[in-house]
Amino acid sequence: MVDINLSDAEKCYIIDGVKLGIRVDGRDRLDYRHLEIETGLVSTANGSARVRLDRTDVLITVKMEMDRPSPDQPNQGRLRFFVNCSANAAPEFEGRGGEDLATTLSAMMDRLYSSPYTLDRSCLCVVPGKHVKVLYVDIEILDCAGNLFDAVSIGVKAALWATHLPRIYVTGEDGGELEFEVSDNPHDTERINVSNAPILITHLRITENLTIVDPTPEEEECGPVQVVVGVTPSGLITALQQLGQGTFTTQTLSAAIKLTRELGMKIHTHLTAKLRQEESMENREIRGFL
Amino acid sequence: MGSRDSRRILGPEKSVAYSLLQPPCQRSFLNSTNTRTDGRSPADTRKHFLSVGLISEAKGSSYVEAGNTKVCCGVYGPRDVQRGSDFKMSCQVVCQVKMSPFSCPVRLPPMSGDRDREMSRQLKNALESVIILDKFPKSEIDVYITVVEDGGGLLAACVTAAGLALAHANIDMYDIVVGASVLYHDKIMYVDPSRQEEEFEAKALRDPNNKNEEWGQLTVGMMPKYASGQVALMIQSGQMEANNLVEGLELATDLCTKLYNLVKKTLLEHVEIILKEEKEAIEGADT
Amino acid sequence: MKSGNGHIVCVPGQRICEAGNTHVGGEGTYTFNNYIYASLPGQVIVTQRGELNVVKVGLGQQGTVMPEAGSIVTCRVLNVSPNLATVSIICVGPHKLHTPVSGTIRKQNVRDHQIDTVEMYNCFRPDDIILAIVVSLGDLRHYELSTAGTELGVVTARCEDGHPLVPASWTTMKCKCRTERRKVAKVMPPGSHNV
Repeated sequence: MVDINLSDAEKCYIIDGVKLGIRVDGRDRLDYRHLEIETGLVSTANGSARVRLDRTDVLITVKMEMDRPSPDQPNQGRLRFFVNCSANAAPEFEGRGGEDLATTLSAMMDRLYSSPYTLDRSCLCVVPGKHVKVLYVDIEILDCAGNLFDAVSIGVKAALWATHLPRIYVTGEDGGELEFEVSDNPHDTERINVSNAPILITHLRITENLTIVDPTPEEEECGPVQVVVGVTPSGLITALQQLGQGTFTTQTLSAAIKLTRELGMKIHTHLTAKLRQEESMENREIRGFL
Repeated sequence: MGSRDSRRILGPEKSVAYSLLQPPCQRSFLNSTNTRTDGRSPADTRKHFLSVGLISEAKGSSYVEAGNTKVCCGVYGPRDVQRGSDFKMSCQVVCQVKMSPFSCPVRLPPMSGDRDREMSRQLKNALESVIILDKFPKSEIDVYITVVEDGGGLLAACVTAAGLALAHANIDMYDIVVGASVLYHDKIMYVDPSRQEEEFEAKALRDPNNKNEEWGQLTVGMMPKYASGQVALMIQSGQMEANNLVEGLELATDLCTKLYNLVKKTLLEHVEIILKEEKEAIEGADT
Repeated sequence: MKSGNGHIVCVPGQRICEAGNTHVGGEGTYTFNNYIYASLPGQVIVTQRGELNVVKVGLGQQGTVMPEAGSIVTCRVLNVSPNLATVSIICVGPHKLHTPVSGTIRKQNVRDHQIDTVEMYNCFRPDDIILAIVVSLGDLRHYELSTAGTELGVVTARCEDGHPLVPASWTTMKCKCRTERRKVAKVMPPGSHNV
């Protein structure tokens, strides 16, 4: 996310192109860029995924810990999101520079998964009212070339899909304290049901009533206002937030919401198919950062 | 856990609000006569009260009451940017929403929480597209909001209060901004929900036996007159069908238009009072 | 909207009239899609300037303005050092600022002749009220000001004992007990330096 300065003529070229239905890189208004996903790269985490969307590069890891449940939800585990904007991605992120983006992003992810329907948290409970599993989802922004929200949400879903949680057995009780045994068999694990996990789709308002998805940084420079919409595989809208300086007409918003539904269901189907395909590969070689 | 607050005596760390010990009450949204618990029909709004000029020290201030929700807002500036913030040629908007400890049934810690910060950020985002930033280069406008009571639809009330206070502070804006909230539950849209309804929804959600798939709340901040209606803030949570969300958006838009007339009336009354005072001052000077 | 007293009042976002060759927007308005809209609540005032009608919206003298390059500002001197004077800007044109902002006057911007012989302490003293023009928006903290020009400089001041000083020449001011040196402004009738 290096500073991009576009001249008015360049902006005009991008905007007029969109009006005619062609974007600078030849895509349609509703086309995504090339997306790469790999899961299971980080051996120290319970689950991990890396997503590359053109030059946007994010690494997501899931780690499980045990905690006491919150008093108002005694039999539900928790899901917590932390975003780290590495200074590698952009010099502006150095020090506290990326904090704003990080908090916006983690708040958006929190809201996306806030509904119990998106992810069943009751299966993360070990002993009701006493011990629950907490999933820490750490999001590392390695490179940022537009459309961070979509890439992160796809990565989170992939990482949760690839998460294997060791089974925990309650073996006995000693003076009121419970005793646990954690299975060390790598095949005796639990998976998380992500069949309803949502993803985000960002619509950028590029000119008066036109929106595009998956904007490049150059396109983001042309229109600072975007609306981020979360959608589940069944087409329900789970979270929506307007970001950036600028306004939408209600018609544009309505159109964007309806488009999200169609597009989201399509992406979900593709994503699940690809994740299944990856899992069924035998002796898969981890490519990692090569 | 953040850093410990050493300036105040805190309650025991593990104390919980006693209301949590009660089993969740299973009231339904509508009673037998199809009215809500406070006697409204689903499409009715709560009673609103708006006024300006509450805080004498601020450049502009406002007080907004929507049902039981009470917020007051003070606007300071434009002034020099504070030390430590980045230099920007354009104007910066600083928003701080502070929920008082007694604003909810559960006592809130005196330090600002996640919800405060989240609302502050959303409000800032909305106000940046409402204020004509080019008119105030190299300066900062501070918007402080104190929530006296959260009676539901809090963010919407904050938006209305901020818009009114900015107008009262004579800060150039594209249009008056007003906020509205809509709750969707059990296939019915409830306009301008109260806290009881919001809480009921939240409790019903946690119930694992709840089979109701669709629910959600939507808050919209919009400028009804600027370029035939522009949405400056839109936040939705929950899960809704796209069509229902669009319908909710339309309902919220309607409510915004209604509120706009009220805000306009409040401002015009204020203008008339000032003009009258001025006229009297001139006449007084003549005689 | 017409009010009972015969004047037109409006709120932000209200369309006032078409912008064109005859009407242009002034303070408290913005122009969008060839129409003039109000950006402040207040009274609509139309003033003639040559062939043009300038449409303004305001409530008395309460408009919100920030100093910009070229505006005449009234300041109070806070601190004088050999190279620059730090001032606090209290008024921009006829408008009082709600919160004062700070500015600096550099040695080379005090007057437009004999720049190299300027002694800051012989031009300004703390607590003087001066008129200055904004040269640029300056850095993060300060506006860059200048008092070069006959009508700019010290307007009111007090001597070391606290007696009010009266201008005696371009460089001196007098009170009943002594003569002090200042960069004195030739105060013009109100309104004439805004043109």
